[in-house]
Amino acid sequence: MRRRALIDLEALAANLRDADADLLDARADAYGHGLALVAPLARDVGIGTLLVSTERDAATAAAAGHEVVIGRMSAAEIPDAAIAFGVDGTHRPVMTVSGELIATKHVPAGAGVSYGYTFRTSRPTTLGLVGLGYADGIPRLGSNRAHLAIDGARYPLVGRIAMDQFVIELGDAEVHAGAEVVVFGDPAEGHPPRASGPPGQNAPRSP
Amino acid sequence: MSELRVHLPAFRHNVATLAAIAAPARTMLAVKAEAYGHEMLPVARAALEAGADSLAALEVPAALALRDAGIRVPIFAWLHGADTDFRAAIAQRVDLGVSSREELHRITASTDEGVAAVHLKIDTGLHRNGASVEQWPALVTDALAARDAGRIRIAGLWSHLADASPEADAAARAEFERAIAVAGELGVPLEGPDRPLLHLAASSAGIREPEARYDLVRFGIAAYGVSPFDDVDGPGLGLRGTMTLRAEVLAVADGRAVLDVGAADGLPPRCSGRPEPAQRSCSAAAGHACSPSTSTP
Repeated sequence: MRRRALIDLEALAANLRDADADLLDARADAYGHGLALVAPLARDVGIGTLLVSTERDAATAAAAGHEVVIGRMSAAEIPDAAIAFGVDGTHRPVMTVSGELIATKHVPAGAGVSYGYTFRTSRPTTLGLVGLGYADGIPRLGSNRAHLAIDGARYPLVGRIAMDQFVIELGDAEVHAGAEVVVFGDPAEGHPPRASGPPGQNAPRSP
Repeated sequence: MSELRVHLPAFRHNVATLAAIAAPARTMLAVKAEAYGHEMLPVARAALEAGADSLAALEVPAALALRDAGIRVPIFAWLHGADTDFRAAIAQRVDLGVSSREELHRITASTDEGVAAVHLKIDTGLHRNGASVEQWPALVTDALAARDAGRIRIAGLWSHLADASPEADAAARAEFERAIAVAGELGVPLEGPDRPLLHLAASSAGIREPEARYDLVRFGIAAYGVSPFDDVDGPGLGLRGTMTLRAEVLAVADGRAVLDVGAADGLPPRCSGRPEPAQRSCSAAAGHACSPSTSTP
């Protein structure tokens, strides 16, 4: 079963050049982007110092040739990581999170969906089961609120998000099991923006 | 610094408590999502020591990891993707949940290294996985043909409840009963040594609905000390907490402390302002530090 967080290194490099900073906030494994990927790239574009969370991350950063600051700084001292990771609404998003459409199912009007039946279909429709859940970082607050993308088209998340799966309403769309379901990514590529709904809320944000 | 500590003795206590409630039904313990974040292998071993006799792994790769660690009990996997390696699963005797004819056909095409143990799933209202009432007879018929061809063993008939209300669960149970009857009419043995395991209940129905227990209960959340109910908490069910999260106090000012733990450690940004002392944590979870209120009672 595919669950993917794709890191666009070209976008990251472009954003880092644009940020034009000497120091990058790379705490929490570079905001979940993978410090081992981010550190060498940051060095290549001229950043000399990384702010990291742990001793282990400090070693990774040092191995890539960085000066390292471990721990915390007050908010005023921290450069805008939002630019680097493309979550400021202006720069290219670096991360695309997607899962897999496991199955589709035709249901009549009035069909309850997922735990507690918090959603009932208003018409005969097709439901799609997606193999992602809160164990994968999808916030349960996205239940009955978020929209996901398949091939650029948006579908509403219906019913409660479970630990490892949730359901989207596909309506009359011709999509099939195995399709890639994008939770958030680059709007320029037809993906939902990170800030458009609850699924993005676990993504990096500027401290 | 912060530290998350897992309490295996408390977990074993919970499993034993739940297994006693479920008996004579058997106890399958869910260890999906790295055992609800507790780390799969030690938790799986503890569950088997405490009275579970099978494990629910969610997906084939996790089931294979359990086998690689030398665990020999039945392991159940039921969420499959386009790239799921059924051949490896069958070779390692992983019990497979099957929701559709397409899935069944992919499995029967992978049985050159052994007979697949399959659990046929009927959708009783949750509308996630499982065959619809309309699809069920065809799924059962195909499974019987595959059984007769020596490719599979029908090891289980199962479903999953929505926990919407006692009435909704009762309706789902009736749906499950009808599906069992249909399977019986089509030729699935409902008596004797080849009778498949019947299973429907998870934590909630396993505790409160004796008639939903059938042959085994798939316990998950309750074994990790968390109540599946709104009207009683874990201790109220005789269950113990299985994790302790501690964090260092970094600074104190004006009756508020800044702790060395935050959203990057998994604390939801919205955990702020909870009134229960046991839950009181962050008023601003961001990055690695948050500032819980230490002045609330």
